Amino acid sequence: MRRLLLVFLVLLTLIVASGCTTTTHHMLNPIVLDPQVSLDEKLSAYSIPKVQVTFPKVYHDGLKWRDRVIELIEGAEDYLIISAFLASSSEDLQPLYDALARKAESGVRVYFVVDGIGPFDMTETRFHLIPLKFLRESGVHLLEFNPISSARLVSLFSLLDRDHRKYLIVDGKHLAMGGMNLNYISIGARDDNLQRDSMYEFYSPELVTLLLDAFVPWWNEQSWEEIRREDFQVDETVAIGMKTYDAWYVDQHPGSDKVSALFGSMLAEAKHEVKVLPFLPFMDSNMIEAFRTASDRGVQVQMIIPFDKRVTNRKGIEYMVKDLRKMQIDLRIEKESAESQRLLHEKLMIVDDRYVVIGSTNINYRSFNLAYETSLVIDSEELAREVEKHFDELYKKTVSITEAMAEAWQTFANWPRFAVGFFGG
Amino acid sequence: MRKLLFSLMLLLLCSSLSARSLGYGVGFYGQNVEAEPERASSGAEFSLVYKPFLLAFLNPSLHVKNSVGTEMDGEWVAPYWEVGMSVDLIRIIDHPFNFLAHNVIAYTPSVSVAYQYDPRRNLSLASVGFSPFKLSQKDFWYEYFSPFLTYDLKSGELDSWGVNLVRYTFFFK
Repeated sequence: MRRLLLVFLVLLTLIVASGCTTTTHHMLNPIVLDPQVSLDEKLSAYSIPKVQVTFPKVYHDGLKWRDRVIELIEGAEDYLIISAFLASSSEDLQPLYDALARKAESGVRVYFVVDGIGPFDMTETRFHLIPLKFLRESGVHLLEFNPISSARLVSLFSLLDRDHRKYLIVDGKHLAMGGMNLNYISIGARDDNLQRDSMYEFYSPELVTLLLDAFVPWWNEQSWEEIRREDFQVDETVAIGMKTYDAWYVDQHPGSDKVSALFGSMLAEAKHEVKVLPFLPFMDSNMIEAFRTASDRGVQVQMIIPFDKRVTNRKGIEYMVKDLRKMQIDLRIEKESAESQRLLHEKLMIVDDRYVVIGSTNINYRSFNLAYETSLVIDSEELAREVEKHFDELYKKTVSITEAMAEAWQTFANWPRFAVGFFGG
Repeated sequence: MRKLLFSLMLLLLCSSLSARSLGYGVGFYGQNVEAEPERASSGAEFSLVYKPFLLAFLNPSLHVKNSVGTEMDGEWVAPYWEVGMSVDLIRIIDHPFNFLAHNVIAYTPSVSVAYQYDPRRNLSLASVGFSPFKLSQKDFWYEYFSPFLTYDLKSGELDSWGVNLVRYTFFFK
């Protein structure tokens, strides 16, 4: 009897613990590191598809992106798919959500995914947070991914799985992805609460097809309001006559090795220079080792850690810095200034003035292991030149992190903040 | 008994593993034994669930359950082990309880039949249950106030009755 009970409890423990995995060792996989294997072959080995994309329009201003989103919503004729991680209305965002409601009422199908962590938003947004449930009355198909409630505490570690993707598809034609949420601090605030971030809008029938192929079964796995792939058309003509670029797209799921393989491959591909905006760099030892390996090969790696005015986050990152210095890279932190009061939420990696990695993925343990993410590598020297200018402007307002700073920051009092950031940041 | 187990295994093997088919549950039960009131117990119930389909009517699932609780004298016991099958009678999405959940939630009342074993008395029982207040999402079940009855397999007489006050089941795979 006791033996049976023991087996039962062991089985339950295994099930519960199965949610805790790491995939970052794929950044150091021999295939990923092999200089004889081409980037294309490495990514193919991980089933990371190659697509063609047009030159993107880059938005660095949340308010301008908000206006563009409203414009895209108002122009929609058939369907809109929005994934936003954090999304809520506020006085400043009322025009956007009114436009969305009107569109749904007019018969356009609107599928809107937000993450269940949204109601626990501890940023300035919490003072400007109107939940989006009202959109359902207009016919918007709103899905809150993995909601957090007392009952759902039963799902234990699965509560760590979050949908962090940010993208928008309009009528199978317009496509945008990047780091901006659809809440107050991302696209609504008119003061220093507005985050610095980026969104990229471009055309790519191939990528829209990939996104839809993934979205429909994913949606049906979550919702009783089932949809059919054939009801979402793709405009195959939209990029005809436009110059296109090679790109590789990762639709990362919790526990998937793809994002690790992608970033590992990009670091291994680097020959002279890597520039990185990681947002919250809570890295594990494999990630640190992957950067160190690139640095050992003589690659000049520049990484900018944002100045985070949120004390808990800042102290957690500061605790991590001593370990990050093991990467032996040019590790910088933004100076505290009027500009850096606006949090640098952007995620970006530029490799050898050629490859630009964009999307929702932070360079940290959580994004690589516990979240749904989008990552897109665009092979474009023109785009690399454009975003490098932006990176270099940011770089000018940073200081190098010294050993003395790192030593002083890694205090026992900051460890809980680090631990929270590592799994939750 | 063997036939029942064989049938259950066959159902499991024949059904394709669709997304979110395997789950575990935690609940709180209270049980009264008719002939031996001092054996009445209450405590936690743990379950493993397999739901291969998502049928709108008569959707079946298999379960294994174990309970751990205390009897009237405070002694810790495991009053039942159970293996059985539940059927969601119907799935209704438009109902008045949707405001309770973050997402669209279905009302799915269910009935269950199971083989139950009481290790305290080395007794084999047949159990029938009803979940009148069961709400389902594709990855989660919420069940409240689910009564059950057990019958002695030898005599066919009512042996015990009880209620699962609450049971939450999470489908992880």
